[in-house]
Amino acid sequence: MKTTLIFATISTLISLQVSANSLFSLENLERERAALLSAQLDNSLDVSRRQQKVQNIYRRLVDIERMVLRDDRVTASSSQLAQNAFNKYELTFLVHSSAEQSLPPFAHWMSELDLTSDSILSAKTGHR
Amino acid sequence: MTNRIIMSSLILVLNFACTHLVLASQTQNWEPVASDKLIKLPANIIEKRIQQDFEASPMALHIVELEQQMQNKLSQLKSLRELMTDSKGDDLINQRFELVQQKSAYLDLMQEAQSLRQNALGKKQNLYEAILGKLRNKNGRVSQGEVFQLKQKQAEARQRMQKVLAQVDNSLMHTGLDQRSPYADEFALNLAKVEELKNAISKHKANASPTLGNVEVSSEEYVRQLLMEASTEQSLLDQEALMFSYMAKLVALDAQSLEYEISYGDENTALTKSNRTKPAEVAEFFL
Repeated sequence: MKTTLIFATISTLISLQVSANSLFSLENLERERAALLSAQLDNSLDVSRRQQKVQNIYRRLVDIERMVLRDDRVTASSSQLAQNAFNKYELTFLVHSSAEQSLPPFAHWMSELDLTSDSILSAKTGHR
Repeated sequence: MTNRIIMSSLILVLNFACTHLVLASQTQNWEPVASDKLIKLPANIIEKRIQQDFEASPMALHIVELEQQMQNKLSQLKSLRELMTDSKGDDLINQRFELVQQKSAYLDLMQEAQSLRQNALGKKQNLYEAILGKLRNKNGRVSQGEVFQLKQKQAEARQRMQKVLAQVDNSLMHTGLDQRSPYADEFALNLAKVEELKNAISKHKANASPTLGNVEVSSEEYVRQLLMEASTEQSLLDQEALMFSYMAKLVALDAQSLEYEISYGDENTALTKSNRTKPAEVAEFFL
């Protein structure tokens, strides 16, 4: 009887874990990263406000990136989102991978996408 | 006449024993299955579980029953042998018949037990092979699966992150964010406890890997060892079967020699030649 109860409790705990969105932390990371890039590219912000906003996001990103890397639920299923995230470590875990290169996250993102000053200056506007 | 009746009854008993053997092998059975539940058990428990299952089966119970019958037969054989040392004449002949009969019955029991043991061992071997196959499949499936590869990538990414943790924390300090986040604080606090719990799990006896000669081995290796032990047992059972066949041959020879002895007397009995009148002996009457 006792054993049945213990197994039932364990099963309940497992089912609770399964029922939660397994990609929740990764989705949060994607949102926060997008917010960082938007803040960096937002022309309406002045330098000090941008810096303040970026710093706040940066801090959150540090935590969220660590959460994703420590979260086993993210890799419990082979979702396309998780596969893409781990296939492109440099772009997904922007804060930690930029620290490897000793670059600010935005500069690291630009270099990963091969967006150099020369390539941007030589770009022309037009229809695709 | 009495001897003929004994001989006929001996043949009848032998025939009956053979029929009984066939019927018994059909009813006394053990049908183990390499279920998923069994595969999930630790390897050393798998062995115990199979043994437990076998011991509770009708086949094992019948083997125990046969063992008891064999012990009883052995004591009967011993007492019969002791009795024969003081017997003579027809009594001795009757006791010799009974001895052959008892030996034959003992061999029947032995053969039945042997056949059941061989059968059980064959099933055990098949079961171990099925378990080994499933373990290999499981490991292969896990190591080739997308989830496994994703987890590998996550582990690699975690290691990579570990190398720059301090650097990132320093950069936070430089940007004026000198207070750690609640997540970082709580995580650091829990980490030590998590490590303690992990250590306790790794040291827990229910989580211990199976051992062979005090060396920890994988489940696959343990099952391979069980298969090897089953082969050894098989080889010894084969040898026992050979011994058993020689014993049966000796009983058959005993029975044959007894039959010859009753029909033609023992080897010391001289051939009785009927008296013949020789011409030389009667020749004088004609002279």
